[in-house]
Amino acid sequence: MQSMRAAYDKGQRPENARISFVDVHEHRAQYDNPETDTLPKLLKHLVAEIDAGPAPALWVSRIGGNEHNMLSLLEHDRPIDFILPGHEHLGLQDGAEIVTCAYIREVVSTRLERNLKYLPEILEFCPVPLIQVQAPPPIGDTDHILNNLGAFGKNLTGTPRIAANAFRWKVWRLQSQLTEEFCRGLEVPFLENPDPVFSDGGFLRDDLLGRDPTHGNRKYGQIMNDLIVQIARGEAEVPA
Amino acid sequence: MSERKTHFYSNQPDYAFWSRAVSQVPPDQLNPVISFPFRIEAREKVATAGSCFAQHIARNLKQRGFNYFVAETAHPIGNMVRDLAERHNYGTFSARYGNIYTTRQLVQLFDRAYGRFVPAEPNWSDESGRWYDPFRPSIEPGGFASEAELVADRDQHFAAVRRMFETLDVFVFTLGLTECWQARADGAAFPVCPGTIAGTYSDTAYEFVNLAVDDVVGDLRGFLDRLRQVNPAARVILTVSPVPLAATAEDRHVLVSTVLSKSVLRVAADVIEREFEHVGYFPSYEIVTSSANAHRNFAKDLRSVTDAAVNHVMSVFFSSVVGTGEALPASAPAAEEDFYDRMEAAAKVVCEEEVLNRD
Repeated sequence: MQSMRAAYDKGQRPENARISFVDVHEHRAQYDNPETDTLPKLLKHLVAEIDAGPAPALWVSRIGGNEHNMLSLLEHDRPIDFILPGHEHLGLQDGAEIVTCAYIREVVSTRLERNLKYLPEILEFCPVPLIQVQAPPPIGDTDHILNNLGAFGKNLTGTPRIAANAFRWKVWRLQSQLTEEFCRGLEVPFLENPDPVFSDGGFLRDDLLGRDPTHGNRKYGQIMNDLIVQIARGEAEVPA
Repeated sequence: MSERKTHFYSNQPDYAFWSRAVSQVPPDQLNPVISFPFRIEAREKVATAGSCFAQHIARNLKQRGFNYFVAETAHPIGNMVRDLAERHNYGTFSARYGNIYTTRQLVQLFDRAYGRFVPAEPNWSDESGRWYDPFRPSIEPGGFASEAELVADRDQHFAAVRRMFETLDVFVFTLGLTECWQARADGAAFPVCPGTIAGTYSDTAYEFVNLAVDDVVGDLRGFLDRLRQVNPAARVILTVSPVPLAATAEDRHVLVSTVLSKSVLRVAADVIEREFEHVGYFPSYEIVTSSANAHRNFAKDLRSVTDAAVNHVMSVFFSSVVGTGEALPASAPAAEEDFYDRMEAAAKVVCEEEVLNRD
């Protein structure tokens, strides 16, 4: 979300559009019990604000998204891989330990649900259509990742190794599938990244990389903002 | 005054007499192990395989801080989900081979792992597109996602089986059944009748076999010979599962089939134990089924062995077979979990740092 917010704050705004960004984490400090209080109280506050002013056309959720990086950005001492159904052509990394898709699916799902569990609550409060946006695709340029490791490189023994690109892409894709399934259960449309953000290999395009190992930059945020505004105006649809 | 007659039994020890060794012994103190051909030290790597009862042995070895050898461990990424590894049958035995009920399965597992036997049986799939390994159909909950996944997993499994056989110190095998189903084409033995868990039953493709004493002895000799080739120092403990047959394929009462099956296995174990110095027989079957204890060693279904019975068996095992060295501290996977804990923390920090980079 920060790339979208940065693009908007820096004036790279879709014409005649107003976007408000709410980062739940920024509001946590004001509550005695941030784990249970932050989201519902914040949602009530937002709804009151909306009632007092012009109603937005759309709420957009960017809950979660970085789980795949947590699981797959750096290579574990026991390199791991799996076959993602429908993407068998990606093969398996030589020497990697194979786990079944069901095994890793449950891991990704468990991590995702820690964040996605808030989506039904948001939906309950949401006075307008709600969509969930896919996480940006992983970064394929391993040099960029190594040069911008930041917190991922801390407290590690030895030289960090970036996990194989194909593995990282599969975990991201699996996460997207699971998020889409979760959203479908709530009848919340799931907006995938548009084609222009992808490189030929399916990673985040080089000119859209942020200054860390996982995020997109302002240009990426601008592309997403433009798309969301088009959807809000009914000029584009969330692909089924 | 008449002299008391002496005869052979006069010099027999107490344990040779039922009255002194069974009738007059508190049931929970029954210990039929007089001597065991070798001792296991706590640091030695002990691998297990066999029928359901072998799972109890494996679990107790782990719980008691023994060096229970698992050659095919779950990847630590699974530590983040409760019971995930267990549900995928990691650690149930020393590798993910599932229950090995018969000696025919055991010797064929060895040969399949070393590429000496490639069964003609194709992999099984169901109408929903899930795939099953005919020789361990329950190993992956719900089946494999594709045949390619099944094959990749099996290749990895075989590598783990080879590593297990080549590096274990002690192999505990629990003989479970004599009744089995095999492929008519090449004698490939299945753990369960095709069509029960997965696959489709066919009279023309499969046949029922009830292994006789010579069959079981032959299989065990063949296995021991193969094991010796890859691991000359390995020792073997045989046990017979006290769990009765769930069903018999013979046209007779299941109780009759159970007694025959267990008798065949017990005789075969005796033949092998007498023949090989590095093989010991541990009488878990006798402890559980003895008239001193049987009435309380089985659950209401009269088939499942109670925890108390398992504890009794394992107490005897540890007092009679295990050396006096200190047990190992229970292993903790903490170091491996730390990797993902650190990554989770890093992901949070990176997201927070991105806020700072907005300017």
